[in-house]
Amino acid sequence: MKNLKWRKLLVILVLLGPAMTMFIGLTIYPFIKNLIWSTTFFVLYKPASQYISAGLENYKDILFGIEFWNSVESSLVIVFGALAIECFIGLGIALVLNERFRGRGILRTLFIIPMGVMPIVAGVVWKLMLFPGGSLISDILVKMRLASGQLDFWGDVGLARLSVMAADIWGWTPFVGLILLAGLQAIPSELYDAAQVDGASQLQRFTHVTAPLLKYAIIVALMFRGMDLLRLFDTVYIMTQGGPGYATEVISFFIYRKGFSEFGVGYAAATSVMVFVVIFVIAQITVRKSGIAA
Amino acid sequence: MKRINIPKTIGICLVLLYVVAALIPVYWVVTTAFKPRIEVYTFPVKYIPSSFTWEPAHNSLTQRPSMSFLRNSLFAAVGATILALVLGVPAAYALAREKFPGRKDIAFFILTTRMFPPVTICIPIYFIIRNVGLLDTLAGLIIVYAMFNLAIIIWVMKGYIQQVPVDIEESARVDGCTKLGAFIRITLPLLAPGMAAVAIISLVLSWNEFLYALILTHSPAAKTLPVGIAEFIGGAYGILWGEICFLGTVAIIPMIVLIMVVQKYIVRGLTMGAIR
Repeated sequence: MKNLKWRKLLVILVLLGPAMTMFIGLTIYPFIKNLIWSTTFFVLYKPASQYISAGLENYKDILFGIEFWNSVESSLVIVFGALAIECFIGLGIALVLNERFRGRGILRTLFIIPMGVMPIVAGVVWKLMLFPGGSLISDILVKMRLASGQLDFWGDVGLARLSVMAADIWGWTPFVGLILLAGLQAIPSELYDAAQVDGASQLQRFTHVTAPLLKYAIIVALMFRGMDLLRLFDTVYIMTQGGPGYATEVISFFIYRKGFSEFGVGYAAATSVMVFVVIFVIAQITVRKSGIAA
Repeated sequence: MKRINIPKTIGICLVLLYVVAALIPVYWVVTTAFKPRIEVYTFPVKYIPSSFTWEPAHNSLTQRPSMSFLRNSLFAAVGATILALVLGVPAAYALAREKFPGRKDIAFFILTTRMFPPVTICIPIYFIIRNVGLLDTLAGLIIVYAMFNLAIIIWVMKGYIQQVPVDIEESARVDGCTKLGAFIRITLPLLAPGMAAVAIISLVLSWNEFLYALILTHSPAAKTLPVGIAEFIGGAYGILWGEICFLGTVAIIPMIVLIMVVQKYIVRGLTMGAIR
């Protein structure tokens, strides 16, 4: 009997061991490294600085400086702006694609194409389409009488943020749409029949049947897209490098700049630890409450 | 008599309009790659190029080691996917089928590795890869990409394995199969379509990855396509839009095809099984 138990433990270890080694080596160990470095004045070009203790100096600098809070603001504006638009368009498209009509399959296939586009290329093409002094988007807006002349997408704070959001919205609205479509298709049609028998209008059917049953899909969409938007880096790197000024310097780009352009490992590590902790807490709450990890 | 549903028709038209608009950027990358340089900047904007040229394609293939970038991208993506499958499928099996204390906590921990922004651990990983001598090598990239895809593979495969009834595996064992034999002969063939789909998703994600390629590679021996594309943005000649867009076209067309192939599985893959 005891023999069997050891055997089982060995099997589990063999199956799970390699993957867990990978996770421990490349996530837990780096996290601990960050934790240690965050309390030093470690600068990349001075290896000895790795051991100069800073106490909580880095954390103090971050919390009382303006740079970190600026990146938090940029991130929040871009994350929530993009999320809102993606959910709005995504829901609309999911509702239509949930209906039966000829050509639905082709439309659905064409709809997901942007999801396959490399973020770097998405950044490139949006940058090109928003080129100051002769861009495609300005031209279209002028032709539609929505703008009077060329818009300065590269230089204006609001427009630059909108540009970065546009690239993300373009690429990932299909993802939100597909999640919500899957959610809609999981709603049994009997519920709609029953609502119709009870005399509910189309709007009432939406607010009383669709919306409550779609809650799970919406939470999943918000969570996964929210996490993806927090790691936004590629399009910012290509399109704006965080500019104009620091208007589009999102949190990922901020950490990268501090660590790899200014070589301030201690500072970047401390920022990473804070971001990590905040996201971990949010993830814990959403995952446990929504029942995703069932 | 068929009644035309007006809101539905308007909805379909709007979606059609959206889809056409969403294809404009793809059209723009592809046409910019083959139009004369002068037409990239003309105003008013030329929607249809007046002539076709191979010049940007020729430049981007001869003036930079673009073929190496392409080869590196392919090896990194395929290598990472194979490594992640080899490590991930057994782990998924253990989490789906074996009962042991802490199983749920381990699964949850694996899920969380996918949640935080990769940039938060990029400096320690840079040092780890440097210290083991894998900086600027494909092996270094493959290991890091495999780790980032491992969580997706484990969670999606865990879901698929749980869908296969244990009974059919057990009946095979009654007939004399070993536990491993039963898994390989009975369960694995049933998992094949899902596994292929999640492998393709992992391939696309690795192919598209930029941040780690940027920090872990610096010579043509290991640089991947996205880094190669990003390099065209800076430089002495201004932005070489034609050349960038040619490489961009090469980078996105195969992935768009793959995404279309796995479209039925893509939501399940990218939400790690939360939506089926």
